[in-house]
Amino acid sequence: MNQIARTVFIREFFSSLFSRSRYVAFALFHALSGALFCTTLQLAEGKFWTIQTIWTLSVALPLPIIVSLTTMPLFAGERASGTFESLEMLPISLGDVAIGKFLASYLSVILCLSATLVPWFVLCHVLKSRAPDTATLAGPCALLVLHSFSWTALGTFSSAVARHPWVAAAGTLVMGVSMMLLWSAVSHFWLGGNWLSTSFPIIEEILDASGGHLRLHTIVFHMGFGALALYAAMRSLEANRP
Amino acid sequence: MLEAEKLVRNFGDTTALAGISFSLNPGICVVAGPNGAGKTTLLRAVSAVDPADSGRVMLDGMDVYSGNPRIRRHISYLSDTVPLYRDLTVEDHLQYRGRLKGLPARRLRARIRHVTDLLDLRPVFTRMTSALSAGQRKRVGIADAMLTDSRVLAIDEPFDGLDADHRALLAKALRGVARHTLVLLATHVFDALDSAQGTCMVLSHGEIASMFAFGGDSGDTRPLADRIASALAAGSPEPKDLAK
Repeated sequence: MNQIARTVFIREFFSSLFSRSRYVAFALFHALSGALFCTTLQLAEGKFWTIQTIWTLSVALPLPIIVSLTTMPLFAGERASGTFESLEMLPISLGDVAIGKFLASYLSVILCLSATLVPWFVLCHVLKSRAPDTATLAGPCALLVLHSFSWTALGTFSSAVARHPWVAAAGTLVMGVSMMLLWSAVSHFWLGGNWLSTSFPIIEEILDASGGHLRLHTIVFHMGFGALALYAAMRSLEANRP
Repeated sequence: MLEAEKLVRNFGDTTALAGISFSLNPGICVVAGPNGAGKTTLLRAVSAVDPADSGRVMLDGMDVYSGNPRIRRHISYLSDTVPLYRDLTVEDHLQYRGRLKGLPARRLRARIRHVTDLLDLRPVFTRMTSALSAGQRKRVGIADAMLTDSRVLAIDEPFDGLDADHRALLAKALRGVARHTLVLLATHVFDALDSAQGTCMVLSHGEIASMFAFGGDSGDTRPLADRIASALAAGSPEPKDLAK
């Protein structure tokens, strides 16, 4: 990380620590995640999903919301407030700025996700010997780190091309969901899957990860997609520079 | 030396710059004219913030529109809206901007101390930028633009929102900078510049209506505002639509 990326990273990360709107977004995410966890636990635990699967699902499904709220001000917010123009005028690479902003958002999202482990530990403490071993969360945690990477990169791209923060947030969700549907369609038509839940890639990934398996194609897909989205963000920023 | 050659900028059917050419050496250059004359467009065009549709701008032999990042090191531009990071204090804002401009830590501290003293920003140094008045915001924006020694400093409406004391203070600071920098000022406020010397470019309908030296040995002792009014009355060109 060069000096510009480091400067931007430190500024963005520390400003997020003091941002009231960021804490509102975190609270919304945890409320959604908690409600999903409790509801699914009541309905499905012991029937067809394990407790690890339910925990992973309840964190992975609201993840796009927290990511889109975290990444929406990165560039679109600066455009709306007018500071982006003065950033463009500086003798620096906007790609470095994008990397700094992306890493700060990624760290914020990971910190937010790590807080979802707290109820898990409480549950283990309450259930004592009946609770699954904490080590079984390693697979789901690794999967969520990968999901966060690709979603945050997509959010950075969306913010880099949008003029208004809320358009960026909506763009992240629309592009992400479209990608998942496209991926499912490819899986169905070309790879011989079916429309049952296990053929839907995100569900399949979660089931695999909660069983302790993280497939190579999952790692390659998320890392590749994230890197591609980040590259597209950097290119679009430089291409639209006066 | 800054040289502009046949700058044309259109916004739809409206011609903001109608083929302007000029060359300017370091010093103060006041860009004056009525609303819609093309002052802001000219500043944005020569700073490459919003390049002209056609024509070219050369700074000491370098093409400003070449996309070469080195050019950006030599041009500072401040818009009339003064964009500041609202979640930072004045000190943090200047620190952040200085680091992005690549100033080493020790030099940055010295520069921040210098510009804050120059523009009387000490009393608001630890205040959040969101809590500043319009005039204080303007001075913070100008301090930011003055952090590095650029060759062109273009400021849109530098005196807006400033009281008489701070207008005089800013004019004095700009006179100091203008010894080695071309200071381009698009403004409607001229009283603070009466004691300065430099060049005045009067725009009308996207064209240069008049260009004259003021202050010092220029020979004309009338206030700058009167000379601009005379120039506009005498030499205002008819509106032209070069797009046609």
